[in-house]
Amino acid sequence: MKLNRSFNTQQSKQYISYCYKLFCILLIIFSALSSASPLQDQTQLRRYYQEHFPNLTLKDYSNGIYAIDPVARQSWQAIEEFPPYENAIEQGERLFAAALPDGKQYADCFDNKGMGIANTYPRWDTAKQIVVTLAAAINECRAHHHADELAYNQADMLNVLAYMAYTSRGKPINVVVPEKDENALQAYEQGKAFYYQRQGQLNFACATCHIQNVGKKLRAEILSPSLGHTNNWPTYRLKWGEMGSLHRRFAECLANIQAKAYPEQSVEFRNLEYFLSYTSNGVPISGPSVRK
Amino acid sequence: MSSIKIRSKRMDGNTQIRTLISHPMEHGRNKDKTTNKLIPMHFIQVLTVRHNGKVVAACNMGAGVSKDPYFAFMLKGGEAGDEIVIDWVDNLGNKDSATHKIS
Amino acid sequence: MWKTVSAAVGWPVSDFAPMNVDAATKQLLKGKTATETDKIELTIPEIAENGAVVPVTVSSSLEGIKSVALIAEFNPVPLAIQMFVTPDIEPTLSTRLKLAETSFVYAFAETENGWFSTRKKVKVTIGGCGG
Repeated sequence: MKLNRSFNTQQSKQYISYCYKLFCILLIIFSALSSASPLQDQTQLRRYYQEHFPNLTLKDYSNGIYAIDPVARQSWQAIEEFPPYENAIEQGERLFAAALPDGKQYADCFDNKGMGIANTYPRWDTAKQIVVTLAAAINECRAHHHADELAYNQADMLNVLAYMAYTSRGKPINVVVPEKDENALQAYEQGKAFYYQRQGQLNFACATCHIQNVGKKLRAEILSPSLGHTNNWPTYRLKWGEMGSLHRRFAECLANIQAKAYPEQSVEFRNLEYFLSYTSNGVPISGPSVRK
Repeated sequence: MSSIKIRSKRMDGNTQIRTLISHPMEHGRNKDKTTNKLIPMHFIQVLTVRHNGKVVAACNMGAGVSKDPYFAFMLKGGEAGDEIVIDWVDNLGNKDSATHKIS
Repeated sequence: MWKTVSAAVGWPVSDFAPMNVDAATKQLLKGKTATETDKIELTIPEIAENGAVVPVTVSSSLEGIKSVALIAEFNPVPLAIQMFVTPDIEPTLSTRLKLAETSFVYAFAETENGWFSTRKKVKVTIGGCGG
């Protein structure tokens, strides 16, 4: 009697794919626990998502969930016909051009007069030994020229950010973790640890949803990949009915998993943004944007 | 600054008129998160579209239209230089108007 | 003939009062009935990402349209908008609606030959982590 032991081609492909996915997850978990370099993290993350979404290019990730949810994409495209963030860009352009108290302008604080540079933030400030986000850099500029700081999650700041993001659209994220600065690497590692750490009453890590369960449904929501989480800010979130920042979204997400949220521009959120942006290097800026 | 933005695009001999308006469109059932009081009704009630001075469309609406409302219309024909005027009136008696030249 | 399209005058308070969808329809149609038709195109997503902003387009190939209207089945005020048209404009309207919950959205067209309608169901969801 002959026993049929052969797998058909389809089954063996699925099995290999499963093994590869498992390998990738283990590799990522291993790198999370070990001291893989930022570049290794970035490579592994890209490889994982590429295996998961073989039809997506790095560029596609800049549209977040709309890259993987076709129904949501249609609604989003309809809204993009005349998006609600247009006012933010307009106001932002006006604010950006206005003189600061000592007669100087924002253009005097930034490379390339502040045009097309949003993709290079956040940056490690060696002198201050802290991650500087674009929002923080705007306030540093203001302080330097005798202007009061702007409240981080208020219209003026968001409008300037919207304008600066708009001038940077299409430019790939280019965040640097300077090799020679141990503390920069430490800030990056702290951001990474935060991302992988289980938190709150639901005991989820960011990675639980956005890596392990990416693309799956949580109630009616499809879980988005982390790749491309930081390139579309600030955002007009339909839920908020207004523009809002990345850190506001971090806080909201943490509240949703019943974990402790941190303030806007806190060290924790800056480091998290640093980690997320670095690992998303190459994904083009798409801010300001509309999201649900 | 006007609350009304207008764009036009020629399409198959017609002209699409798109407008985005800044307006809260409050239905009166939302609560202010800090004071816990109801936010009063505040929404556009009537919007008109004029082409070269002539009313071509008029909309009656309620707060079932989204915040920062968007509307798109399709004008028959339309030539470069034609003037489109959009104006609105809300329940509190506020008004605004904007003019756009088809290019 | 086009008296209905005068410059912004009396907004019909009673059309926009809170009531159920049957009452709102009756109010809009002024007691007449609407015939279901496939000659009204209602484009609206099957699943609304966020009930506060749902993009919708209504257009129609019916002759002699005087107005088009959109009614949301379970909104406290079901009538969202009614657009009166002159022959100078296509009976086409795009806008963004608030939908209170999963419901039908009805599109009505008033013509010289009476009222016509179509409808589509829209699911309004509670997100997982998006909330």
